[in-house]
Amino acid sequence: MLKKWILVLSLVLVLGLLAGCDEPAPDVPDDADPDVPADVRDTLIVAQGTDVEDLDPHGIASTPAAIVTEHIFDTLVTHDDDFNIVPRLATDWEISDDGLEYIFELRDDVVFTDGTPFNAEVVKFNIERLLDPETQVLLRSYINMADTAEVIDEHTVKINLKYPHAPFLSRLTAASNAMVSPAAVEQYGEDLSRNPIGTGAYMLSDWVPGTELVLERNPDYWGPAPEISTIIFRPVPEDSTRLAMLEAGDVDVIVRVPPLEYDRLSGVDGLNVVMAPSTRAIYVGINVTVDPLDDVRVRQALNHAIDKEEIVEVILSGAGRPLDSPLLPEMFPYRQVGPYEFDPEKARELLAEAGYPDGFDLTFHHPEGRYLMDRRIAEAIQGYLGDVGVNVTLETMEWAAYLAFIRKPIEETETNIFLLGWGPWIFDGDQMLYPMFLSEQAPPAGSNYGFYENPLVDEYLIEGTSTTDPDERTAAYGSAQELIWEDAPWIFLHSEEQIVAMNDALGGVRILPIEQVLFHEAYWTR
Amino acid sequence: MTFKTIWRQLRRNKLALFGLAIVVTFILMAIFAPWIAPDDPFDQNLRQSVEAPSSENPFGRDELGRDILSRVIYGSRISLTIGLISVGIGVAVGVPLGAISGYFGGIVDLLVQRLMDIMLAFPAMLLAIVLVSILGKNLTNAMIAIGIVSIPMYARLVRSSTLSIKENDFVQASKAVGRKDMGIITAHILPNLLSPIIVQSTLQVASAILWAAGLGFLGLGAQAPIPEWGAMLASGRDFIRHAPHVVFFPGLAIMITVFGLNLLGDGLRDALDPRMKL
Repeated sequence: MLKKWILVLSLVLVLGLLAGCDEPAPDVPDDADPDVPADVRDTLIVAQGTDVEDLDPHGIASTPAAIVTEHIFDTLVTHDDDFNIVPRLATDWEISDDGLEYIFELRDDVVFTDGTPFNAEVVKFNIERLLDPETQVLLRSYINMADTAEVIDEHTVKINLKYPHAPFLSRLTAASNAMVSPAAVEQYGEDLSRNPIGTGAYMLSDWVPGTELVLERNPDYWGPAPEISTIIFRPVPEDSTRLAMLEAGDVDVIVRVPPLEYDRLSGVDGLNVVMAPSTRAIYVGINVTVDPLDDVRVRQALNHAIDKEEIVEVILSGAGRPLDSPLLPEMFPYRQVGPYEFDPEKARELLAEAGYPDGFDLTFHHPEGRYLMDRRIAEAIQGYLGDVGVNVTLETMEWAAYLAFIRKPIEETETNIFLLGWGPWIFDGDQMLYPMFLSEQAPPAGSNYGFYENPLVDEYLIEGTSTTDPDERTAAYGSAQELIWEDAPWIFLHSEEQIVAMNDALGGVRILPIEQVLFHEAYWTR
Repeated sequence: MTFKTIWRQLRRNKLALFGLAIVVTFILMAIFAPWIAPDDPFDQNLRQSVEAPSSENPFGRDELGRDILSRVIYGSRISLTIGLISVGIGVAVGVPLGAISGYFGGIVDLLVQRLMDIMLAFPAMLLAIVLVSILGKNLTNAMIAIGIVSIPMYARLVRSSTLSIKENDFVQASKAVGRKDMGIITAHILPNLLSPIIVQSTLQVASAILWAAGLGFLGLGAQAPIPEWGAMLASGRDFIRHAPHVVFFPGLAIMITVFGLNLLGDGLRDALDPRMKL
């Protein structure tokens, strides 16, 4: 009796196995309608760390917002993957010899999703709106060199600058300088953020703040029609939750993967984990006006005392590149001038030369949770500097309080050294060097928080921003990079790498070094 | 009550003895840290970050490659200091307040006790966080904050004991012969308060260590690179999946110490409580 049962059971098992092998692929029925693609998956779910603060592109200042507005709106010009400036809404442009007039030829086949045609009037309206003090434009520094805009004919527009500004074209690529529909501004006013009307590949279909933001393909898009019909953005602040959602298949793409997870996640089947360069430079600012940091030998010693390779390799698990210039390799016109070798012995010698053989005390202010591994990096720096006799006290500050603290003018400042990052939205070196190292950009005017001042550097930086000739700019910025490196107004640390993880059936995702992830050309392979 | 009688009582209580052994080890570890610790607790070695426990580093290394065993040993110094200083503050302020309040009664009692009620109305940890935020984030301020938080506990305890002690004949007799109030408090009341204070303090040291670890975990207590146990837990929490030893050992140290102090405190309460005596 028992034998019989075993036989039956075995038969069932074997048949089951065979049936399993024989199962046909479910997706491709033989009699599929040829008009309907076999692969019906055309929705994409993206989890970002924070919600979008604004969908009026002129008001945005954060990368998560820029990622969304870049799908809804278009700028006049944009970058290709080699950082060249290429047409978008403008097809061609001409720059006057004095660098003060920019004439743009515009596309004539573009219509906003509310039916408003895109033309020269629209560009004029947008430039004026961006310059209007009544409009809240957080990144006005990307446009405020513009003065007026003139309509030449329906599809030709001229923008006049207040002063020659070489990176102006580059600035027009910034997501905050995108073109919005004048009719929508008229109709919705302040509520444009909830009713964003652009010319982009997608349009807003639904937005529940804090929950999800849904984009639908724009059927009248002027460019190649995107493959993905619906993109859903979900804000998921907790890193580990984002990871778990991706692994469970609840979302298809996640940004800002913690570097600690990179190795583990790369081994997960069905995921494509991309580590891509980012143009966010991380540095320790030095207040060059206080004793003993006013001595260049002391500042160079601090640079030699820290092993940046080790920080990148261990703390960032490889998700970074040590800086070897004030500019990053993606930026124009980068020149390698470093690195400062890790050499504690040399650091001690330099300190002794400067009259501090026994070191000195410093206070190191830093934020927590703003940059990759910021707290751990600060603690490691404390350890390195301790090794050469510089006794560092760490002060962790909440981000808003920290910004207020380092932005104080020279009479009120209490800084010694402080951890910061800077990630411009364009690839022109001007946006890095000018606000960071020009003497008149010291707080409260700009971001030269360490009060660095070198008249020669000032000269080169002003030349670089006002001359339009690329060779002259390269020469001026090259000299500036060398001088700045030598003066060591920062402890040059590293640039971050961004880690984006996605379902490996997804192709065509563009990851820009300005930390934007774009899905215009994305597609599902299965 | 002499030390000898306390010891005789305590010796019968196995758990209390176990607690005492832990506390003594903890104190010895704190005193002799530089001699016991195998390594410099501040010696950073990034390339050996979060190395697992080995024969060289029995507790492994932390996120900056520092020897965890040495840091845990040095951490006992921090915790002991926190315990003693914050309890010291609590006793120094809370006991006189409680004694005066209980002895004089009336309007003094009313004022002091309402003030204590206000302080007790806040959860202890919350009050400590508020105080540290006002005073500034560092270890000293954390100790002061925890000391202030423990004041009402002493004031309450001492007041209630004073209320019963002052009804005793020897107090009434002292009053009758014209002794000054302050003299009576110091000569007759305080000595009789000693046992409840000792018991409360032992338990309070445990709470102080826990609160300080809590503040350290929130980044409000000891600042880097001080090897405070709570701060060690906080900075190691990102590694809990990859290298659990980074948080395991500091956590274990907190648990064992607080456990030991609580056992000893309970034992002392039993030993010192007159009602428990046979």
